[in-house]
Amino acid sequence: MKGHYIDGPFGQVHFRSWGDLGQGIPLVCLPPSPFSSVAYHTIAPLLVDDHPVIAIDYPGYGNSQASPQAPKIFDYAAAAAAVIRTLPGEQPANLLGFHTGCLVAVETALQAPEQVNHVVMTDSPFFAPAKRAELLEKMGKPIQLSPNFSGLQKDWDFCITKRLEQIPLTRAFQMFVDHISAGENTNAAFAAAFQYPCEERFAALTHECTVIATSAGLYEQSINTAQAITQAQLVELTEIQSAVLDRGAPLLAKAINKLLAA
Amino acid sequence: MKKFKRQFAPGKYGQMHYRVKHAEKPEKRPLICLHMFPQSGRNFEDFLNHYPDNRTVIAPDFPGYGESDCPAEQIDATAYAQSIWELIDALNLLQDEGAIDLFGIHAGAKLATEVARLRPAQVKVIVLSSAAILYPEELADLKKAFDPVPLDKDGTRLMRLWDLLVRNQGPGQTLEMLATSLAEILRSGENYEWGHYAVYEFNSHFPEILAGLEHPIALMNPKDDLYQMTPRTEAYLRNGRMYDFSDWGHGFMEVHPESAARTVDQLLDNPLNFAQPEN
Repeated sequence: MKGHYIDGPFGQVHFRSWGDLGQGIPLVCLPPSPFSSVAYHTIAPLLVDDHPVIAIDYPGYGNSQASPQAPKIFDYAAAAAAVIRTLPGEQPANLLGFHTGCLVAVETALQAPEQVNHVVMTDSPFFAPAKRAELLEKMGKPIQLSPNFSGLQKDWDFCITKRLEQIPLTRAFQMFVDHISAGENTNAAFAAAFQYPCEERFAALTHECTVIATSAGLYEQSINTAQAITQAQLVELTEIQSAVLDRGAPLLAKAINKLLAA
Repeated sequence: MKKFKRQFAPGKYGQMHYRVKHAEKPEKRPLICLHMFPQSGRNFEDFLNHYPDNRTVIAPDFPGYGESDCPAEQIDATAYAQSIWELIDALNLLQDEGAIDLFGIHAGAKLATEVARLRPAQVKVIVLSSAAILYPEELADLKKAFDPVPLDKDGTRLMRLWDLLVRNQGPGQTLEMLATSLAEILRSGENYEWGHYAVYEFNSHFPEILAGLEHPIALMNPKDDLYQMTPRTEAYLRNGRMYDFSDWGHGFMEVHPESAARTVDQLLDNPLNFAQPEN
C-alpha cells in the first residue's frame, strides 16, 4: 500500500494505491460515510487482479483537505475525477462505490464521462426523498464533544460495540479512529449523501453499470437502484449479511474481479 | 496566507510522510520540526501556515506515527534520528546552505539533539521546547502515565488518553484541538508507544549528548507538564540559554500559531540574545 497526494479542487486530495499504477485499468474505490480510504484496507489487496486498486479520501476525510463549505456529493466526485486525471495511462477507470461511495461513483461518471469505464455500486443508499430527509436530520449533524467524551458514545457503538462479532477489535478500532479523525464535521458525508438527488442523477447515467446487492442492510435500496439505472446489471450476493468490506471481502472481491474481467 | 502541503518520501521503513511549507525566495536555512510522541507532524500544522516566508519549513512524521510507515520492530532514538537525515537527504535540503536548523518539542526536542549529534556540521541552530531532564522517579511516573493500554470494547485506551489530554490541557486549548490530538495518537495503532520507549532509553544519555553539542541552542520552557523539569536542562547547554514562556502551555502552537512561529524564527536568529516581548 502506498500513499499519494494530488492537487484537487479544494486543496490536496490523498489516496492510497495497491498494485502497479501503470498496469491495467485502475479500479477506483469510493468510501462509505463517514470514513476515508481506510474502509477499503481489508478488501483492496483482494481486488488487485490484473489491475491496480486506488482508494480515495474525500475532502475533509483521512488526509484530504476539507472543502471550505459543507461538501456535496458533487464535490467528492470532483476530487475523485481530479485523482483519476493524474493516473498514468489514458484509459478510463472503473469505479467501485460502497454506500455513499455509490453516489460519488455515479456523480464522477456524470462529471467526467470520458474518464470512467464501468460503474460498480455495492449496497446503494437509494432512499425515497422523505426517508432521506429523515436520515439527514438523524445522521447528518456535527458531533458534539464534551470533556468526559460522552458525546462520542454513539460513534463508539456504531463503529465498535455493534460490530465486534463481525470484525476484529483492532479493525473496528481503526474504523472508529478514522471516523473521529475527521473532527466535528465527520458526519458531513452523511449529510451530502442524504441531499443527493438520486432519482435525477441515476437516470442520467449512461455508463456500463453493475449494482451488487448484499443482505447487509441496503438490499431493497440496491434493487431499486438497479431499476432506476436502465442499463444496470444486478448481481445479488445475499450470502453477505454484514461487514461487507471486511468479513464479506473475499466473496465480494471475487465477484467484482470476475465481472471486470468479463 | 500560503499553506503547507503534505507529501511522502521514500524511507528505510517504507514511506515517510511530512508537511512542508516552501519559501518563495528562501533567505535562511531549512527548518526541521520534530513532534512529540505519540503524536505526529500534525502538531505543527498551524505553526507552518503562520511561519514567515523566509525559509522552507518541514515537519515529518517519525516512522510509525501519522502517515509514516511503521518499522517492523521497535527502533531506538538513533534510528529515529537517522530517519530524519534520510528525509533531509531525500529532499536535498543541504544543497544551498549545507546545513539545517532544528526545532523539537518534548520527545522531539530530545531526538533533535540526537539528530545534531549524528551530523553536527550540518546543523546550525537548535530550538528545544520542553526538553526535560527527569529524575528516576519522574521517569517512572511518566512511563506509568504512558503505559500502553490494550484494546478493549470498553474503550479504556481511548478514555485514558482522553483523560491525560484533558488533564494537561493548555491555556486556550479547545476540546476540538484535544480531540484532534487524540485521533492522531490513536491512529498510530498498537505500537503507539514505541517512540516513548526509545526516548525513555535515550533519557539517560540526553544530558551527556546535550553537553557535547556546540551548537547555539535556545531552550523554551512553556508551562506544561515538564515546566518544573526543563530548567534542569539549562545547566548542560554549552552554548545556549533558556527562555520562560509561562503564558503558554500544551498546544501553544495551535493556540498562538502566529506568535509561536514568529518567536521560533526569532530564536533561530538570536538563540542567545532573544529579546522576549513584555507581557
